[in-house]
Amino acid sequence: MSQPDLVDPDTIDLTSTIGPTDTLSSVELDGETVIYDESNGSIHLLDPIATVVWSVLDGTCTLAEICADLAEAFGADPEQVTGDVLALARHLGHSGLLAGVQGDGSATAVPDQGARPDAC
Amino acid sequence: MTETTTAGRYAPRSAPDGFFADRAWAHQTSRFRALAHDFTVYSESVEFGRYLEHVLVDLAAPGEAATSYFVVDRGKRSRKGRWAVYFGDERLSLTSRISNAIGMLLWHVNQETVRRTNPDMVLLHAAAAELHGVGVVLPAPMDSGKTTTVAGLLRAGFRYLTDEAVAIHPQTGWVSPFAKPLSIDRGSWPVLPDLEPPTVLAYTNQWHVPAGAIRPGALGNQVLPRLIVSPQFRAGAATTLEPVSRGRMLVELGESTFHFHEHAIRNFTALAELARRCDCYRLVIGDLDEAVALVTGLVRTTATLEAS
Repeated sequence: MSQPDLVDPDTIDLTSTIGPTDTLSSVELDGETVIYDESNGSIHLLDPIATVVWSVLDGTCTLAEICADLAEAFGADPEQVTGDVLALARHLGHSGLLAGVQGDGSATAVPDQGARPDAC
Repeated sequence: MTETTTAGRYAPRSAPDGFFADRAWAHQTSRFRALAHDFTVYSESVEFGRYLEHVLVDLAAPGEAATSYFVVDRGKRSRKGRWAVYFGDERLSLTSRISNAIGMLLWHVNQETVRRTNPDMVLLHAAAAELHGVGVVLPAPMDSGKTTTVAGLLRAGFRYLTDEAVAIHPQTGWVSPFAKPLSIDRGSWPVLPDLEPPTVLAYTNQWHVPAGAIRPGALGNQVLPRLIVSPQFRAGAATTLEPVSRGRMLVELGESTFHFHEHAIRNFTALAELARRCDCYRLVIGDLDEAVALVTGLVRTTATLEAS
C-alpha cells in the first residue's frame, strides 16, 4: 500500500517535477551510469540515453520542459522523446530511485557473497 | 616448520586451559598468514600436519601466530567421528575421514580470512593473476571456472594472486596476494590432470594445489589491476573474448563482493575506480588453452600500450 505522501510511479506525467532520492550514490563510466541505492542495497545500470535523462532530473523542471530541451538538443522527434522519457521516469519510479515516488520493491539487493566461499 | 613424532612435545601457548593444554600434539605447523588471518595448526596426526604444510606453503610466515587450529584424534573406535577440528575452543567439525577434516579446516581458513580482512579491504569473489606487470582480475560466480582459468594462466607463465578472494586496498586500488592453494573442483580434474595431488589425503571433492606445484616461482606480488575478465566455462562452446562496458562490469563486481553491504559506499567507490582503470571483457571458455592464449594476448597488448 502506498504511503500517503508518495505518488504512484504510473501517475508521473509531463507536469511532474522529479529528481533522485537522497539515498543514492552514482558513478558515470563511459556514458553509462551505475547507481547504488543505500536504502535497499540495490545497484542499477542506466544506458547512455537514460544517463542523459537522469542527469537533468533535478526536481525543479517539469518533464514537459525536459522533453522539449532533449528533443531540441538531439534533433529528435518530440513525440518519441516524450514517450521515452515518460516510460523511463516511471521505470525509475518503480525502481525506487525518485524522491516522492513510491517504489514497488522490484529492485533486487546486491546478493551477500559472504555466506559460502568456494573452497570447502 | 617444526615437527616431531614424539607425543607431548608441543604445548600451544594460545590453547585454553584444560582440554587442549593437556593434549599431546604430534605436529605443529609453521605460522600461516592469509591477509588478516594469522594462524598455526596443532595436530595429533603427523600426516595431517605435513599435508597442511605442503598445501599452505605459500602462506607460510615467520613469527608467532595469533590464532590456532587444533586437530584432535579421538581414536579409531570413536563412534561420533575420529577427527575433531577446532578453531580456538570452537569445534568446527567431527568426522571419521581425515580428508574431510582437511577440507573443513581449509574452508574455515577461507571464511575466516574474508571475515577478518573485510573491515580493511574490499574483497571480491574472484581469481587474479599478473603478467608483465599487468594485473588481471577474474570475477565470476561459483562453478564458473575461476580456479581453472587461473590454473591455466599460471601454467602459461602468469603469477598467482588468488583463486578465491581478490583483496583490494580501498584507497589505492592495489591488490594484495591471497595465495591460498588452488581449490580445483572435480569437474575440472579432466582439464588439469597434471595437478592431481600425490597423496590420498587430498580432499575427496577438491584438489588443493599450491601455486608452486603448478610452476616454480609462480607467486605474484601486489599489483594494480588493468584488466577485468569474467570467465564462464561452457562445454562445447566456442572460446570467445568480448568487451563488456565498464558500467555493466561494475554492477557485476558489486554482486561479486563479499559482504558488500557492510561497507557499501566504500566498496562501491573502490569498485568504480577499479572498473574505470580497467578494460573489461567476458570470456566464454570452451577450450582452456585457447582461453589462456586470448588472455595472454590481451595482457601483452595492454603491457605494450602502457610501455609506449
